[in-house]
Amino acid sequence: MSNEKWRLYRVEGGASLASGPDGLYLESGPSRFIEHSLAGRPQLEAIYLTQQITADGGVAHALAAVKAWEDAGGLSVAENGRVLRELLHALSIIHAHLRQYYYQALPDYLPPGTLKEYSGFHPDLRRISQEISRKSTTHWTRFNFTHPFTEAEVNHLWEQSYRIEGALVVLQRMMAALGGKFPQIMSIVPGGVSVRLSEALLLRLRDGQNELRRFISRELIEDVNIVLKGYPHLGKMGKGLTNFMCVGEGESDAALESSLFPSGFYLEGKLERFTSAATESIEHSFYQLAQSPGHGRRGLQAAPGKENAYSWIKAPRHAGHAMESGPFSRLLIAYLSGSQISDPTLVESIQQKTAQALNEANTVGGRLLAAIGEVVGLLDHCEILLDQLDPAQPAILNESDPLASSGEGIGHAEGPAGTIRHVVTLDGGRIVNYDIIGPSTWNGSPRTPNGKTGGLETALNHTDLDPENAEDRLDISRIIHSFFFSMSDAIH
Amino acid sequence: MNRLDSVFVKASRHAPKPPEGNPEEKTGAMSEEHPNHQSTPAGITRREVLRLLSASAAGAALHLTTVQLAKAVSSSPSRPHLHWFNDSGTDHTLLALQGHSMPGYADLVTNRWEMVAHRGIFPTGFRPERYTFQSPIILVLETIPDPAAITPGEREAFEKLVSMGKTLILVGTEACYGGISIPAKRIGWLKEMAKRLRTPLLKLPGVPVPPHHLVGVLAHLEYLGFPRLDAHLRPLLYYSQTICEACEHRRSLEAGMFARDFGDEGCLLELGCKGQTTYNSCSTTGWNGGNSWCVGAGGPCVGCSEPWYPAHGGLGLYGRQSPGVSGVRGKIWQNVEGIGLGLLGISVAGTVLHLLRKAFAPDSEELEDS
Repeated sequence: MSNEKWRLYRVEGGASLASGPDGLYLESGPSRFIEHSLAGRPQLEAIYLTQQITADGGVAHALAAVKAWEDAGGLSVAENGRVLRELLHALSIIHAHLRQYYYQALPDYLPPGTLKEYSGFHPDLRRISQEISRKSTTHWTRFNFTHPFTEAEVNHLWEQSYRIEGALVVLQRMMAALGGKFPQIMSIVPGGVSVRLSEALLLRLRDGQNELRRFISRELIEDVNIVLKGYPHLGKMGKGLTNFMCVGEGESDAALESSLFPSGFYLEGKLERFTSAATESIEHSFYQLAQSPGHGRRGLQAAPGKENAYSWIKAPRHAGHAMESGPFSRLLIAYLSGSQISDPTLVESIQQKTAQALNEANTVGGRLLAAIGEVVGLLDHCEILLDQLDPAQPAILNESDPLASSGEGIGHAEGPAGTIRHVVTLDGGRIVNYDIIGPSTWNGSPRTPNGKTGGLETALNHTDLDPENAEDRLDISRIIHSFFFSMSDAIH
Repeated sequence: MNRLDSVFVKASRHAPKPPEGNPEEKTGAMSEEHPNHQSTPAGITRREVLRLLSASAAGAALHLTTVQLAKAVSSSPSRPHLHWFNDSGTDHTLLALQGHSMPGYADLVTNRWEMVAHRGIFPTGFRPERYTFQSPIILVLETIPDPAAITPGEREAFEKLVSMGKTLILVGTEACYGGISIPAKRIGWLKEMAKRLRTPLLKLPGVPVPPHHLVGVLAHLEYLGFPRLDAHLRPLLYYSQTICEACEHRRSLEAGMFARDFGDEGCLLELGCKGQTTYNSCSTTGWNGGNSWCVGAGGPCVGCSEPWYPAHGGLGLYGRQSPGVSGVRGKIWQNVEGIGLGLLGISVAGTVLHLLRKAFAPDSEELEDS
């Protein structure tokens, strides 16, 4: 059952909570069938249109689409183009994590009504605090709930929320310089990027990078620690799966070495090499095989009244296992792979705050710390990427004709919320079939016939939470927001 | 008439189609008894708002002007409540707004914008039905409910909301013209409802809509009344010139210098650019603070603010591509071929007309003699 008062806020694409015989799950409107709408179009349009699946993960979807094309056509990428794409990718993840943590997740801990209590020295916040005090008592900005923060902590968290807006402005400016506009990047094309790399552009990017340093440092992790100190149960609550995945840049040896995130599976306690094979179950999803083979998503159509179905999300599986992806998975796999990009201090901090070993620390607290920790690591990585750029070299290779590409191609990317896989079948550069698995599809997947649920559903039912109870409803919202979950990404 | 006023007078020459409903009735357009120089209760003159709007449309110090306009909107004591409907849509517009620091999160949360309802910012546990409207609302729709999928009660509630709306603003191309998530006939249903309930409607298309368009229109509604619209109900303030008119590659277009591949110098027409037929302010104002825009990053304009987006009459976003005939490798694109054939046709017709006139006209020497 589901009702309006269980409607979830700050979840992209709209979702509400529902309860069934097997526990809590998420409900949504029907799928947008974006894969179907791509059939017959040139692959260049897929790079553009798949960005509309989700705002935060749009760049990663575009990257997966272009890689699928390059894979199908055997196309090479200019070194500058690869670096610029990786830079764009890293900046988009930083942007998404900051937005998700400060504006989507934090209001579950720090209610808007606390701004009325602000007693710091920030002139804008003081003015807003006075304004809010004058609002009607029924107004949502007066909405409050009991919180554990001290006066100094309330002041600090509000000042940080306000400050982070500045970081988003700089990040969007940098991404627009690389991609034309954000959140709809226009420069990703086969062979590299269309933007012309110049000394002036490099200077702008370095300027932006320096400006970001003013906002982003290791101190951001302190903002999560304040929340974990106030809500110590987050260290144990909302435990997800124990199987993790990270596609990194794909499964080739070269990708393994140059990857922003090392790829691999952590399955039943063992680290395995990544393979792109995945299956999708529709047993409990509102889909059925079409009578006649359709296009877009081969032979699949909507079945809203299907028996035993309860979700518009499909259930992707690796070797029959539900896998979790996202910042926590990336951290765990990087750490176990011995990658330099993993941060031992962050790992230590997660283990300490959750009082569990890292492979057991996939809880609300663990996931939030991993995400904000990733922001700090990615900004350092951007510095390295900027040093690799050479304005004397082109950012795009125009050697072969991508429009002649035919056959199947697979493109992977790590989006802010986790793993993205695009599989395309092309005929003369036009799409015959398109198949997308987004991060929220992996994490939000419903159960399969063997009873295995995705990470989000596992986490929702890990702790005994009663949605009728207002306190528990807050905890449910905290669990969902810790996945940086997007329903529009999950059901695309 | 001074230079600043001319922007709006120029816009008025486009003979706007009257919006749905009667804007004068609900919004109170600029009137004789409230001259431009007279201060509003918020202490900001209409002339000042007019100046800011002109600067905003021209892309001058975009960030600053937009922030000032946002402040003007929020400081107006008579500002209506914003009811933002984005039930199942994505967060693209919200994200663009948040990254513009205008209104930033604190502004949204603290309701400087009188944001009554937005799924993307409500706190968990809040019951929106407890909120009572104390003044007229501006209804901002990013998604439109499916009349076939909602209950009669929900339909009635939505109609009531539309009837209460001082103005109805459709935000984003999908909400304006339909698309993958919203069928075009649903827009027709909404337009019919707005007309019946006499609620003025305007459209702000774009993927996503530039944040300064929304802020500028809100300021216009608040201080100058209902803006002048074009035939597609878009405010002429931001949608009166084509992308090509102020494009950085304009000179290349006139000189016939075309980029043949992505990453090349020159006009992007041969890469499928729709700048010649797309009305928007991108080439003037830029994106994300005005530092760059699609064409600036080597990406052709895909005409995202036009009603025929993304099909563009069969041309698609980047023109019709096929290997060996046209495409990103610099062969001739079919849309360019079309334009070329059109121009050729016009030239041939012109030459024939000229020859006919010459054949049947009196001899010039005779005219001189007479």
